[in-house]
Parts: sequence; structure tokens; C-alpha cells
Amino acid sequence: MRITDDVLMAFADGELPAEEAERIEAMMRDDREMAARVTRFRSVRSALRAAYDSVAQEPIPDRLRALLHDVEAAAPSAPEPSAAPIVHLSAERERRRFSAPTWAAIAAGLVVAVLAGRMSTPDSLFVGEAGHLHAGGQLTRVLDTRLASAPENANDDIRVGLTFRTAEGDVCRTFTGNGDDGGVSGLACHEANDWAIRIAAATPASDGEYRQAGAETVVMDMVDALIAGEPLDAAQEQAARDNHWGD
Amino acid sequence: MAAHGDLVRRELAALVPRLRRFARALARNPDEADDLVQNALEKALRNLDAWTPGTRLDSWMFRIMKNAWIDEVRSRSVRTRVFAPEEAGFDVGADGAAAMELHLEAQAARAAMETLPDEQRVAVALVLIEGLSYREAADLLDVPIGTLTSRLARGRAAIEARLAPQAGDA
Repeated sequence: MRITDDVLMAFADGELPAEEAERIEAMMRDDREMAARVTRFRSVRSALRAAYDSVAQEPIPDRLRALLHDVEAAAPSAPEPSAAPIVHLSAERERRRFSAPTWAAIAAGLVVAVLAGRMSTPDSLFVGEAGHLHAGGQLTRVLDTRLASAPENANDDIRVGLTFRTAEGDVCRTFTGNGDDGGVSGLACHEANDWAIRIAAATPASDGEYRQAGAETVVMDMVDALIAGEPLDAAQEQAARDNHWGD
Repeated sequence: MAAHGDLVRRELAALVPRLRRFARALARNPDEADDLVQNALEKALRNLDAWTPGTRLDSWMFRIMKNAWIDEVRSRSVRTRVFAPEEAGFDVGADGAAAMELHLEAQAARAAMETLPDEQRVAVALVLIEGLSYREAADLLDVPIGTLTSRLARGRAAIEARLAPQAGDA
């Protein structure tokens, strides 16, 4: 029985009741074509979010501030928590989901973000062309061998974060890298004996923690778009490694 | 009453970044988008009493903005569209800061949005960019949920087609 696009779109948008969503998730594990359709729905969402998020990060123009100036002056930058029972059901969720400064990041599932300067260094994290990026030597070694729980993972220049499976059954891992010229957060999936970069977001050294957090939010959005089920636990991660990440 | 007004103003101020993002998804350029935000905020401030405390302020504002935008689009079409949408596209490169080619991708997504019929564009903006549920968006637009999802599906398919000409090899 073919699930209609309407249902799959609702699933991708988190609109299905839990029970039905679980049923679809289970079906996706055996049906790569179906999983790919869901991924396409999600990629449009993440591409749009990435394209417009930066607007919410821009400084507010004076003419708009002026309209609300009397209270704006009283509450400088951080909005105070409201004491009144005003309902912002999704406000916090929105803040979390949309807080990424996307000047440096594009999600899409279709699109890979790259930083041109980084590509040419001898120790490049990534190799290939935009849209077809793969992990470079050092990153490949880390992704191939490193368990998140390994002691060296805590202080290496490259660190592994989450490991999870996509609906298509591919293993993907998040990573962060630090260098003199800033950091990178990214997500790579194991395909054809290679680690394909699905997204990478740069964090210039001078911009500090705030943007680092932003880049990681973008990567986590991508995880949300791709993950099937829960992230692998330590034992599953090790088993996946021993299995050469599913080859 | 004054206290109520101040409170809502403060809530409105906190919403401005999202209002600007929503407006940017609807309008043709950043200036027009901020005009729309200003217009909607002025309407809201004149009608603060019309908002029921305890209900969603963001939905209320999105609705005001959507209506203001529809008015704008209508009057524009009457004026024979002297200012053609060729000026389209946002000059996002101008912010220069983190000049990365990623902006090109963002521009592609924005350009794709601009090609959508107005009804599809609002549906896509509310659900995919602003994160409203289908039900919230349908209520806000005063359409049945099936109409909302059909607009959303068509808009999404059009954007996907423009973003991924050779989709499938991702």
C-alpha cells in the first residue's frame, strides 16, 4: 500500500498523531523510496528556514523600535519574562528552533555548505566540490574510528558528537572542529565507504560562543530532519563502528 | 488599561524579529517588508483592545500582517504594477559580514519563494518558516485545513523543483 504524499508531508511536518507517526517511521525503515520522499519534504523546510532565519537576527530598524519605544527603553535587549498569563505556547520552541544565525549555514539535505578558504589548506577538513563534499583525511580518520566516549574525544581538535541512523539506514555523525581561523560544526553520513558532508557551518574565531552555539543549532536542525528513532547509544555506536558503519 | 497596553507593547517588541522574518517572506524586498511590519504594528497598537489576553499574540499579529499584505497586493495590482518584481531578490550580499557563498543558496530559496502565488506563499511562510501547525495556519487564514495543506503541498513542490533541479542524488 502506497502512503500518499499528503500523509508523508504531514508526517514530515510533525502533524501526525504519535501512533500513526510510529507506523510511518517503521515503514520507512524498509522503504528507502518512501524515506527519500520524506527527506525531500523536510529539506524544503530546512532550506527555507535557513534562508530566512538571518532576518530574525538582524538589528531592529529604528523606525520600528520607535513605534514601541516607551517600553523598549525599559526593557533593553533581553525581553523580560512576562508576569501575566499571556500564552506563547510555542514561543520557546520557536526560539530554539529558529535561533540559528544562518549567515554561515544552509541546510537542505540537497545542499552542502562550504567555506572556500578552508578547502585549500593542506589539512582540509573537507575535500571535493560544493555539493559533493567528503571528509578529508583527518576528519575521515576521526569519523571512522572515534567513539564519542573515547577520552581523546574530549580535547581533540576534532570531536565527534551524536551518531544516528537515517530512515534510509545510513549512519551519520555530527562533529566539531577547531582551528586557528575558527571552528566548524557539521554532519557527515557514511555512504559508499566515504563520509559525505551533509552540512557544515562555520564559526569565525572572533565571534565567540554565541555563533558557535548558532552553528550547532543549525546542525541539530539537520539531525532532526534526518534522524530515524533515537541516537545510537555507546554500545550501538561501537557495534556500528565494528561493522564499518554499515558497509 | 495602561498596564495592559504596556504589557502588550512589550510582548510586541519581543515579536518584532519574527514579524520581520514573516514579512520578508511575503514582501518583495527588505524595505517593503519593514513597511509591512510597521503598518501591522500601527494597526495593532490602534486596536490593542481587540486582542484577547490569553490568546496567541503571535497569531493575532500574523493575521493583521497577512491582511495588510493582501490589501497592499490588491492595490498594487490595480496600479498596474509599475514597479515590476524584477527588482526581486534581496541583496543579502550587502551585509558583507560573513561573506560566504552560502548566501547564494539562501538567495535561491528566497527567489523560489518569490515565484509562488500569494496564497501558497503565505501558507508556506506560516508553516515552514514560522513553524505554525496546520491547524493554526488554517485558522489564521480562515480556510479549511484541506485548503491549507493543498496550498502548502503545491508551494513546497514548486520550491523543491527550483532548489533541486537534479534531486535524487543527494
